[in-house]
Amino acid sequence: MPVKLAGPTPWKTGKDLGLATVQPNGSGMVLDASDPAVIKDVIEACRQGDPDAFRELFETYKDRVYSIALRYSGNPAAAMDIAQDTFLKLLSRIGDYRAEASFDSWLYRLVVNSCIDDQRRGRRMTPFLDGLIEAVCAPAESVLHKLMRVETSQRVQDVVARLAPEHRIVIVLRYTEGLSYDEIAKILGCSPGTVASRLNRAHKILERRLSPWR
Amino acid sequence: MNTWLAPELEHGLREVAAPPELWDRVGSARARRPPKSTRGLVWALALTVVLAAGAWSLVRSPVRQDSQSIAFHCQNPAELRAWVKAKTGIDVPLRGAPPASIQLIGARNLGERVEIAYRAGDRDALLLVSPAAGAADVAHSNPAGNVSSWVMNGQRYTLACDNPADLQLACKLCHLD
Repeated sequence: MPVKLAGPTPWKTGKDLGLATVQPNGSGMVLDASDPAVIKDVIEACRQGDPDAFRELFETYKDRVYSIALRYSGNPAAAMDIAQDTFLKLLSRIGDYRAEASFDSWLYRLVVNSCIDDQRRGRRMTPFLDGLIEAVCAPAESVLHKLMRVETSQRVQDVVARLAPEHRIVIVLRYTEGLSYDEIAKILGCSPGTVASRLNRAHKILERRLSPWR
Repeated sequence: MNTWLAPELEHGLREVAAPPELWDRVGSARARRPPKSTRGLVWALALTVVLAAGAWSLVRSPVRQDSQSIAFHCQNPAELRAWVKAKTGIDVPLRGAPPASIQLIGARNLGERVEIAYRAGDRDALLLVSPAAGAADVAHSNPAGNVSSWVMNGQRYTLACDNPADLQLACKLCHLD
């Protein structure tokens, strides 16, 4: 749904950028997030209220947002709430985003804040069993093999979920998103030295708690 | 850090696909959301009202004091009385030793009239004196009760205070308790 603007350089919609239309099931439209020009145009369109542009941003970032929420909270229901909250914040605050900053960092900050807000609301941070149940029900792979894989992942998730919030968030941003110390520092508003120190401390705790299982 | 830890964390915390129902959740939450907050608008309106009220009270206040407009700053009643007499020919019977609640600021020559500015208690008061030869000795006040006017000994006196309750105190500029 392209929106007509009177300006001399109207923003482009995803269609203008040669992207496929979003399918009713949500598949199909993922932006090239590494191209700042593409992201910039879609953000501008989103600011102007173009629903297609918001959908493009959603499709591009939904997995990252949900994964951070899930790995931080350790709970799929909480992760859904956090992801939902993040996208609603994105929509309402997109006008605050300044193009000179990285959109990814800006969005990560929204997710991190939503995670912290969710925890402040007192939500339980319990590990989930969904993966385990899914593994037992899966016919294709050896149930035993899959159970072992799920168990290892589950164990890591459990141990991470017990970390202090400031340690947990650096671990999630580092290992779920593969961010550098500098990037994490920008998102959390602290120095890279603080990130290194928190990671170091978190690694020691995780090593101690996971080593008996090896 | 042990070599096994990083791969185990990368695997255990790997990115996963968001459930398809997330889009519907976001969509329905958007629909449920109240319209954009009007808090900013309310604050802007409140600020406008306060500023307008302030401006209105300044315009309406009978005792606006602009220290630049005071021609003769003086706290001594005798000196002020002499200055007024010399400039306008009007003799204002100021008390030689007013109570401590009365603090003179100064006077301004307005042609045939004179304004005497002072503090009554902790608020501003203003006495306007002009010749009124032949006028009847009548006194009257404004509906708000903070301005009182009367004629006495051929001069019209108009006394204005910020607060009607201060009028009686303001009279002590010239009158005894």
